[in-house]
Amino acid sequence: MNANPRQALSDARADLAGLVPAPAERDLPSDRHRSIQEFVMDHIQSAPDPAPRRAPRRRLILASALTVAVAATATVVLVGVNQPEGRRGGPARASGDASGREILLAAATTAEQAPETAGTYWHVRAESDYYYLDERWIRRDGRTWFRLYGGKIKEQKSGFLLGAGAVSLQQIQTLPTDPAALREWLTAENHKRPPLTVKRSDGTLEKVSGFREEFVLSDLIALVTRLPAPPKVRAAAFQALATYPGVKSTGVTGQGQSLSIDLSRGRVHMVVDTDTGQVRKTTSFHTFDGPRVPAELANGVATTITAEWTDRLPG
Amino acid sequence: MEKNVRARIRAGDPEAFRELFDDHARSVYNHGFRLTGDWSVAEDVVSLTFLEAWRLRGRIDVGADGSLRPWLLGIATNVARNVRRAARRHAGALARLPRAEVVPDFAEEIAGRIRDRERIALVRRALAALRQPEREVLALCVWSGLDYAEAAVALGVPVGTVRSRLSRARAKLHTLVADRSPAAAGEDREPARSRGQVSVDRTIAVRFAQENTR
Repeated sequence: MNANPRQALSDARADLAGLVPAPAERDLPSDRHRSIQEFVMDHIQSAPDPAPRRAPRRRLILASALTVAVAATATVVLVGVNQPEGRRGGPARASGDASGREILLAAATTAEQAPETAGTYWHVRAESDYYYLDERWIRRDGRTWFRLYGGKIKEQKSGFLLGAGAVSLQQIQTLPTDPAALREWLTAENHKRPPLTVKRSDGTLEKVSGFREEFVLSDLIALVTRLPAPPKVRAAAFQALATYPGVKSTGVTGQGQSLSIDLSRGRVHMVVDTDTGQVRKTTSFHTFDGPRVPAELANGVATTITAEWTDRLPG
Repeated sequence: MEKNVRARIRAGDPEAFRELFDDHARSVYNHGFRLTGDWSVAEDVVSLTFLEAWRLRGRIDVGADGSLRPWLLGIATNVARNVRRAARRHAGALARLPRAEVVPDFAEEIAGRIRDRERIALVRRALAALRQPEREVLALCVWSGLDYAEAAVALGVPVGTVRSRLSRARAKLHTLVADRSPAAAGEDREPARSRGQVSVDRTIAVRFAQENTR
């Protein structure tokens, strides 16, 4: 090793820089720089001064709104950081791993036999492994309340999101119960979305292709995770998922059978409990509010979603 | 100069703190992204880091020289390790943080974000082979440009520990690169748009999600 620590470090840096790609570097968008700065300054000036070194003031008000922006963007988690291994350019594989499909088909069978449930509010709780906790209560008429981190409950415009926008409970309950018809319906709905054009950093515009198909997959996952779909529709959604060519079993976890679905641009992971027909965990979760975004923006964080009818709105 | 800034911030001078934000928000933001892989989360890392910095300002060593950047990056590293825990501590405050308006310029950012994400994905695959302390040292010393002593301050560990973590990181990454096909190395820099798929060794293709469930 080099005796001079500075030289040694600069050698190490050069060496490491050659081993791992340089990460992105960017500025905080200027308005965000300002607004976060103002926020921090307001807070530190308005909060009673915690004398240095003292324990922080304990405020057990887990008030909300931590990440509306994140809710609108980052919780849309379709594709993690891993691309399917090098099948691009080659012939598409005819079918996925049988056991992956079997898991989904078994879940479909269980889901179909599950009793119909009902209630006043559809309560969805989404908790990511690493960051995020959000809950929604959607009344049968679509009126929605939400809270973050168990904080204060607030009303929010949202409703049941599927396809190109909000749908009624009635529409969800009368969705096709045949897997192919269901997928067709979702495809048609998602084609109502305007084209997605993005500006590249060099100023040129680029059309994002294939994003509607990613929404279709995402909607199918939504139907088995976070929407009050009737048993037959849930079963059809599981069956439709089973037709995706990139379905693979990836083992058993404490919560159920783990599987992944490969897309042209990435991969979705799910944990399915075939005994109950429930999805315990998924890396695909679309938030109810805000623009839903294509798979590419996914952050790959697994989210545990539970959804059920309840008659009570908390608070 | 820096001593003066240290003393002012420790004494609770808001203007000095405002300057600190102007000087270092960008560093914290980028460091936050490198550790979490998500620009939205990185914004929260910025907010939380500065709220924490204010809370912890009594720990600033006014006798020391040098920038407070290593100290801030150390706080940011802690925040990024468990954003939710940090968010809980400041939940009352964060409730009032105006959120980014996502709709208008959102689409425009997509392309940039996609590229960043692909790139960080590649970085993460490599980094998945490292233990968290090694990763943090790598992020601080190589990407944020701290020296050994500064990284030691940031992480609250001895300088020798920083040095050995970095050297372990190097050794592990060398092993990985040696295992990779030669063609892959060049592609890492311009990732994953077309069929030039990056073939990273399977052993290091560990998922981000998995990383965070540990």
